[in-house]
Amino acid sequence: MSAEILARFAAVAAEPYEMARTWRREQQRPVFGCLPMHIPEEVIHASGALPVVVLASDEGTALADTRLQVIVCSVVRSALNMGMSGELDFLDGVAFADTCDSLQAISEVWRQNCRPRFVHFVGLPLQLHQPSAAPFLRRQLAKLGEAMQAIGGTPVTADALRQSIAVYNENRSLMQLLYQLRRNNPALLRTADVLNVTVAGMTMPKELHSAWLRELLPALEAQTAQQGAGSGQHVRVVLSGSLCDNPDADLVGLVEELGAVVVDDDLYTGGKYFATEVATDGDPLDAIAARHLNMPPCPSKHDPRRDLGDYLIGLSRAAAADGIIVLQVKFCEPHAFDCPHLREKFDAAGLPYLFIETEQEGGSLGQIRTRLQAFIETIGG
Amino acid sequence: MDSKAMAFESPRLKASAMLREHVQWVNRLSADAKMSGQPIAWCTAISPNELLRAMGVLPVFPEAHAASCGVRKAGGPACEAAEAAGYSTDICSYVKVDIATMLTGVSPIGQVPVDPDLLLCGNNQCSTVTKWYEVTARHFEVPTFILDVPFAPGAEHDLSAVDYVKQQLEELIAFVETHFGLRYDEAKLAETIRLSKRAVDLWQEILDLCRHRPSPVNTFDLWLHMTPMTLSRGTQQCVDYYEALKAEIAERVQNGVAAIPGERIRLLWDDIGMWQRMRELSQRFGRYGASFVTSTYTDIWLMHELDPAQPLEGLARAALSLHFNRSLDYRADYIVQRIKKYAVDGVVIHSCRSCKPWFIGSYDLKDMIAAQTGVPTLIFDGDQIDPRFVSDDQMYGRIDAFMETLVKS
Repeated sequence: MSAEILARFAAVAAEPYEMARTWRREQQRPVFGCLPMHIPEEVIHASGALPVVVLASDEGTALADTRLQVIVCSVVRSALNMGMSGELDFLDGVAFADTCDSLQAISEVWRQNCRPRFVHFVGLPLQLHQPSAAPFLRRQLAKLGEAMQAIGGTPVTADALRQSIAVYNENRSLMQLLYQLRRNNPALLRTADVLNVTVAGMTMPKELHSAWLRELLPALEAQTAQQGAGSGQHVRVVLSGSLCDNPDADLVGLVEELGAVVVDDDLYTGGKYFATEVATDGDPLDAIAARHLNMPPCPSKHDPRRDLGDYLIGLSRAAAADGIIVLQVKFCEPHAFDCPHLREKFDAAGLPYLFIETEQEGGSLGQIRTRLQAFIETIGG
Repeated sequence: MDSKAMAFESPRLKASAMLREHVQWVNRLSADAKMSGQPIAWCTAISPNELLRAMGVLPVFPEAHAASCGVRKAGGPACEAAEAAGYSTDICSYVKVDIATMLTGVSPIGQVPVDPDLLLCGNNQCSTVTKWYEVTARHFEVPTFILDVPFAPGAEHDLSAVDYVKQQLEELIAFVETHFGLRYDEAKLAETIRLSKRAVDLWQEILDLCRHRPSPVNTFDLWLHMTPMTLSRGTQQCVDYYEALKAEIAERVQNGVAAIPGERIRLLWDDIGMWQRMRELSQRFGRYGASFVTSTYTDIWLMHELDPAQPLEGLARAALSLHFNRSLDYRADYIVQRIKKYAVDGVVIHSCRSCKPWFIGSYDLKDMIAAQTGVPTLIFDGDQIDPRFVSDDQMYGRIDAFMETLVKS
């Protein structure tokens, strides 16, 4: 039954490091934390370690507040707090990337204040389109592999990489199938449940995650066959944004409560995470680099070959969406800069939109409810 | 003596007139370029614009326009206008001022930067500039080059990072050649770099003059006089400017002229300058006989990596070496060295709301400075341009408390 399987994913998402801790004890292999976004995990996996994404938690940020000014986002604040509180002590190390100024700068504050003490900074290129990006990225991936050896990982050989790529590609293709199922039957799954699947995958072995997905997909297909397909009377929306952060379950639940269904997304804890597979021919590091350089448009990267607005309009059209809801994490600069442009593109394309700013502490959903309700009623009418 | 009652007159530099003339000359260059069809590039302040200048492109610096708006306390309405256009209130106020100017065609100080033919953005100073230049590129629909300068936390630069930046500089050359039919000539670049390096060396000599007790100028003066380093680095006129400025300041040293008469406390300023409160801060600290003898802001122009013999290598290393592109250990050491060199009694960190790469880590820096030197640090919140994010009561209250403690010790 899909409910039982979904509950498993939810349990991992709720206690993200429990399985990782157990794994570490049982396997006697390193667990390596990855701050958002885009750190290529295959390299870490190929060293025998378990990569876990460090997402913001719901715990307080009192410790971080002593080291950090107010206008820094909750993703960074929460990570710093977890590092200071000891919650991430079990990790053998953490990796940061230059996703934005805050994440780059906080890697240094982490070094001064947090555990685990082993920090590796991955210099991911911020421009994706010039010929110079690929060789630089490749060298950074090699250095990441070398760093893994310092914490007890095995040497990252080409064969090990090919095996890890196979594991990750399989996981990605299974997630793509799940998202295809959802596109065809958006009322089948609650959004919070779908997000839990990705979030769980971010902190557990991909092999086991794939095994669970192989149970879930047929169960959902069977359910569809029984219940019938289609979104029925529901308004169809695409969810976008929420960089680095998993959207609040209450917020996405509200979307459904108000009569809409989410048909697709480009969230970090969704479509963005498992987009595109790694090529299996040629040099594996080059192939991993190529996937990175051809990622779907992200505000944290400069890529004049793609336009985020066009991409989201395409996504919305393909999913037959009635509108798009863009979630903005408060104080997230890269995304904030893109939003006026997105509005223009959506207006020109006639795609109805709603922008919602979110805070980690949730804040009052009252105001958001009113705006969401008005939006859903308007586009559904 | 009641420190609050201490009145003083800070001597004016004759070079102020020279600065006005220099800026007028720079503005004439951009007007002439528009007339003649010489390509004009909007560049970020710390980008390797020498490369463009050597190829016959005229670099123009919208950040300098925003800074001037801050100095003249004219940035507030523009910040609000940018927000009205949909830009977040939490983004850098340089960007807000310049986006508003771009969208409205009206400058808060009547100096709209001339329209660009291309954009060069170096992200060593922050990632915000990349987003700003993307917005600008969409508006003007001109070729845009983002120079990706990796974070350089190590004491020694990672060679793959140096190679990456150098390879991008070669891509930049091809970009300019392709879009504008201009030719790259290594000898011309070498000459431009030679002039740039000469200006950097002169700037170092000027800053070194502030080791003198009393300091002949303070950092607020030097923030204004670093304008040519931004606007005209790589030109003979920039070299001439700093020769003249150095001579005037050296004369002050000879004659024992102090920026803050009765100087008895020497301070270091960290973080971006607070353009909108320069005179006020100079006065407030000056009441206590406190002079800012050094700052990490003036020091960003100390691009000693520039090398006419290896133009691209030097430019790449200079771009990586920007001190707030480095680790906290490096930055603490950077400040500690200056505390010793300039005989600094106290550090003031302007936690500038607009500048995340610079302000994140301030609390750790304060602790590290204290641990290594025993020197106390004041951290106060502010912004370089946007008046809505300055609370004078709070700011002056904290300054007074800090200075009273410092005076007593």
